Amino acid sequence: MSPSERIAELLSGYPDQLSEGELAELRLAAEQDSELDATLDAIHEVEFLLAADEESIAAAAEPQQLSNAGEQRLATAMSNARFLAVGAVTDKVAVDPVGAEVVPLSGQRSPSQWVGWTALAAGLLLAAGTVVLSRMEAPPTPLNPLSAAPGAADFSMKGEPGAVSGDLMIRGTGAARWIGGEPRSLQHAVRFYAVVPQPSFLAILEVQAANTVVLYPGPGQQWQVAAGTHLLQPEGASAEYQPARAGPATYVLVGSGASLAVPAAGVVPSVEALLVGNPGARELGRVEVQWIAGD
Amino acid sequence: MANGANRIESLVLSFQGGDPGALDQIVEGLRAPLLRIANWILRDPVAAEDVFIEAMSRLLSLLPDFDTPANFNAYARRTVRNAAVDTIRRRSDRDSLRSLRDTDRMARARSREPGTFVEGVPGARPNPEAAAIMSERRDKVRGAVAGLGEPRRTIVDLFYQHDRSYDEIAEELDTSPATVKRHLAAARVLLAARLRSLEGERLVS
Repeated sequence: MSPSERIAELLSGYPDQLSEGELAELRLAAEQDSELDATLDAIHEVEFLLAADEESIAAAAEPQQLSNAGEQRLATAMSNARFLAVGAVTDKVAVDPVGAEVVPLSGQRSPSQWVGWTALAAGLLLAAGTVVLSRMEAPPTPLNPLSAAPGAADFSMKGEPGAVSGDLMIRGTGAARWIGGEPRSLQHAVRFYAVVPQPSFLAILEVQAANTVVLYPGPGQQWQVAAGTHLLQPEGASAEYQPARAGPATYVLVGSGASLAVPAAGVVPSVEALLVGNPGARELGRVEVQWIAGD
Repeated sequence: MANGANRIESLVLSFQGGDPGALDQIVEGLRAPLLRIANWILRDPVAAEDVFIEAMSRLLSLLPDFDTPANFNAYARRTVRNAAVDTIRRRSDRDSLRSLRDTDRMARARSREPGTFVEGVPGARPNPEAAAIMSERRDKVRGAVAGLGEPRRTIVDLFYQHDRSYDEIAEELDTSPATVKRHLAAARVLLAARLRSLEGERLVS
């Protein structure tokens, strides 16, 4: 088989019908062939255009803006790049003003630079450790907030809190689209997304008809995440959520740099009560949904 | 495309030479095209943002020592494209992607009003000119579908216009889902080549 025949064969399975090895082979070939590289982009645009209606065309033509949390994450990445660049530039060369000789500075960083590098390394280690920890945490339990019986709150602070930021997003599911502000049928579910620019401990609460319950995590559990966008999908359970009754409901994302204490029964007097019981915890975002019976 | 790549190259060189302000221009120059690629593949602005941010974090960490600035633009596109493709490949099945197409389509682009769900982002500016260009591209692609041989033309029509699943198409045409997938992939390659030949340029700018 000639190389061009092999590429044609690989393209006929791109992107979802190739093995990992075949995909790697095609990607490597694309790195070395700008025409093939452009073809891969074109394949994705073609698929988008084939499925696009007027609404999605109009939306795709608008410049997508990032969420507040996304902008913060991007700013952090830019800040790190600037810091690394300072080291890179000074590491390269400097011209000695007297002898006009090239002098490598890699062994001559100032104490302040060393402090900076050490802080960056420590930050990276902390982030890596958080990722590892988040992957080692106990699997979450299914969402079942309304089955929790009312009970007395049992707050206790665990660890030192840290300032966090983020946002809550709610989306429709499957073919049941939902635009924010529209009434949502109880027959259709929603999904919750938490967006945080830093490792965080999170909780999602539902306030409906004067009842405030912690949807997730369950009592005694933690929802610990790394920086990023996280779909709430408890292990072994669907990510789709529907309340038991119609009416207005408010969903609140609470975050903290330290673990969050959730009352034993998952019921709290108010969002503020949960915040008071967890010093350092903050409300990161809230979304209102008008649940209605029927379609 | 070439102008954009040249501009990114010069900005990378400026940044590496000690101009911190060049970084803002690099990010702004890459933001729209990279988000567009991620959205083409993922059809989900939330997932696209995540892929974009993760990719940018990696790219920017490499930037100070990136030794071939002329290739940084292409490298960035490949990084985002590969990350987005890896994301959809991790999903349980191909059809899960289709459900996303009709789910809150691009709700992110709408302006945020108090008490409404709009992905937590400020409003975007309508861009009728860009929409018209995109509509023209779509019409070219759909026009090229008519030039496909059978059964590819029918399969493309059923899959994209009638929203049929692989299994439904296979049953209707009395073939296997794997054959349907192969025909669809081959059709996309042909349509991509057709559109590129019509325009004589890359589709990503």
